Amino acid sequence: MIAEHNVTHAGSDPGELEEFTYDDQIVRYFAYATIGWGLIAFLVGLLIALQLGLWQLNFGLPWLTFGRLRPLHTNAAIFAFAGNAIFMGVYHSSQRLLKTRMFSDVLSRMHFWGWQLIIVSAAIMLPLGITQSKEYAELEWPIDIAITVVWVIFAVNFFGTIWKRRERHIYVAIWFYIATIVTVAVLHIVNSIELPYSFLRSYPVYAGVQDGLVQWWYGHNAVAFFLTTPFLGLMYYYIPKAANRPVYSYRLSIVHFWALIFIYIWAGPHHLLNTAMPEWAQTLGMIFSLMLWAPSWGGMINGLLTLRGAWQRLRTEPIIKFLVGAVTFYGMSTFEGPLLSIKAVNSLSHYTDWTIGHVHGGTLGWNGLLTFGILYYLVPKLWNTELYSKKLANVHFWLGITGTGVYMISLWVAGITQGLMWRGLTAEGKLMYPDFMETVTRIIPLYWVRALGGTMFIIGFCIMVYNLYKTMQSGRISEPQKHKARRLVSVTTLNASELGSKHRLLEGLPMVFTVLSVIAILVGSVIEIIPALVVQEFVPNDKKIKPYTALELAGRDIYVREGCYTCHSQQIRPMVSETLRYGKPSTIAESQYDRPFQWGSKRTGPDLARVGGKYPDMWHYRHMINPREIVPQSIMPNYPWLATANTDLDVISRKLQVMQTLGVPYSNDEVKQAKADALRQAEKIAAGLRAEGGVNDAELEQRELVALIAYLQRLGKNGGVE
Amino acid sequence: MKAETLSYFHMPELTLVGLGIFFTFFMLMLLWVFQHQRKPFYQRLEQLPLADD
Repeated sequence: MIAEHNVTHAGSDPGELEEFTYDDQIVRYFAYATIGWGLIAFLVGLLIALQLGLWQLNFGLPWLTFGRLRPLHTNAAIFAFAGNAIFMGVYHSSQRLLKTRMFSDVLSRMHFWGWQLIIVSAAIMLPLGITQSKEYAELEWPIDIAITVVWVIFAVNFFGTIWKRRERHIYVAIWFYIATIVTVAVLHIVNSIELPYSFLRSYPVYAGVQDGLVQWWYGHNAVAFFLTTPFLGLMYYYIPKAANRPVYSYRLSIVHFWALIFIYIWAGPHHLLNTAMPEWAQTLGMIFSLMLWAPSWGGMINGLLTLRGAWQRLRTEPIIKFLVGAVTFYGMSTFEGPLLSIKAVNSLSHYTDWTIGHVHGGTLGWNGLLTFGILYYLVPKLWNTELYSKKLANVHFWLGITGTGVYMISLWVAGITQGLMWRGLTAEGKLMYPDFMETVTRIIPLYWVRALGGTMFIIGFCIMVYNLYKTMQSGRISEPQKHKARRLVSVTTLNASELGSKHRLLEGLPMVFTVLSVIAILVGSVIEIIPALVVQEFVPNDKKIKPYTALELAGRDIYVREGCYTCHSQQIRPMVSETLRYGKPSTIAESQYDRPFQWGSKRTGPDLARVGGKYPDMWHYRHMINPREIVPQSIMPNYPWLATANTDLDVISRKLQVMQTLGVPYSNDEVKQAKADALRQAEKIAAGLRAEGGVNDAELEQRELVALIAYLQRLGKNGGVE
Repeated sequence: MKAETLSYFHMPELTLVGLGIFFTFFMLMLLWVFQHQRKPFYQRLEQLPLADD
């Protein structure tokens, strides 16, 4: 059978009739990958959730600690599960909306296998501690380059498909895909500018507040342009498709698109509210976050009202249930996000589990349910059969939605509880809960509830895998169906009257549209980031603050490797309770040499910005090997390998040299003698440990733990200048 | 309060330029999108996803 499209539109596009097929095999590949990586991402997420309740689940193994697995979980969920889901939907819907096969089957396969290779590399490197510690951008420079190459392949393939399309006008879903492709490219390249000092290690070119601003401009917009815009594009295609009725308001979809991409890009600084970041950038981030309410809810309303007159299908069609559930979670998350961006609310929520609950409402509820809905729609179509069991799909829906709800609510309660305990003051103006551990043990039962929610979600997912497997088994992959549509005549050979109007001409020109999209995202990016990068007075360089010594720098790299930032912040906010607990508020100058910055985003443990000198070296030595020896209720993993592994000082000169290139005021002598200087400082610390605690290790000064202690004791000391 | 807030703006002209660009762009977009004669065009566009697979 041959399906015919735009055949009767002769007069407007009088090209010759052509026959073609769609490449659905690539869609199947991405569907397999979405399911496979989804399972891994969710299981790793469950493991790290359980680790917070039961520290023994870190197993005393370096590659299974929370600090190393948490980045693996986020990367797997975002780039492996959601990423493959995006590509699955984009490859399927774009071919149909543009009435053509993808530009190149070879590029499609290069994209698929290249992306899977990147994910496998990440799955190996992150547990090994090869990380930049920048959230959602942890991967080191060789993988950064690979991501750029694969993304360019995807972009060439996608824009090539637009170029050879047989449909003159670009449907709004394609607009969202275009914005995704160009913005992710800009974000990834700008945030990944780094200088390597070895095959797999590098330092970012930005330091301290600049690194923070660029990183969260990226991090926030990774959510915006990887987890939102492409999924909105999918929503605008699959909801009309599943409901068999057009989108509620096409006009609203256009307003939604332009307002969303313009505003979203500005909101990054809301991740750094109440920190040492300049006040104006915080205010800007907060205001634009509040403005996001309007386009986000415009999109949600547009998605939901597409079902007007077909609401009865919500009772009978699991696909509609998943899609509506997803859009509802999108509405909830995009209400909660701006709420959390209000500085007063953020002062309570930031660093707590409230944020974790919020992001999981988005990823499990919005990205997860939408992906499941699309899979339930696509698999029967791609395998030419009916869904194996609607009943199982319904069970999956209720498990998924209940699990997500349980997850979110438990972490809302945990976050608000802990936030209130941190700031609680007595009538005398002292901390009501001065022992940080008390604020941790109070919320551990809620971690178990969260794990229960996650387990329900995973059980539902496994039911879907079984249901889709049985569906595939009962179906068959037939010869690709043939389609017919007229070839487009170049717009230059058509006059405006044939196209209808000049406005239509504009919409038919994807290149012009792409340029406009880039301008829309660059306006916010440039205004937000340029002042931080170019104005010296904006980031005062305090000459009194000394750079890290060679040993401190080596210790800092171990701190980064172990992912300590996933549980400890290094940023004291200007709030009474924080000053009482941790000391005076952090300043911009204090992190001027921090590459990468370590301000953190979560406090499962206390802030460490001024931990230097608070405890003796021996305290740290014993605490790192077994935290419970010092703090009986601690949930921190043991790090015994730090006491047996040697610090790699062969590369320390090179590290200082790279830092010197980046502007850190190391003298040439300091660079040359870095190893000797590091050993000298290590010997001093080791002598103290032997004398104070009787540590019996002939090679103690070589150990990683000594370097880490040097770094921890430096925090807040600024190299002797307080 | 206002003076204190503004004192933090090291490059206030940049944020004003941004606001100006956004406002102008947004109003022009609204005027463009809500032109009455565009309705038939949108009616055709919104049918695109509903074509046969």
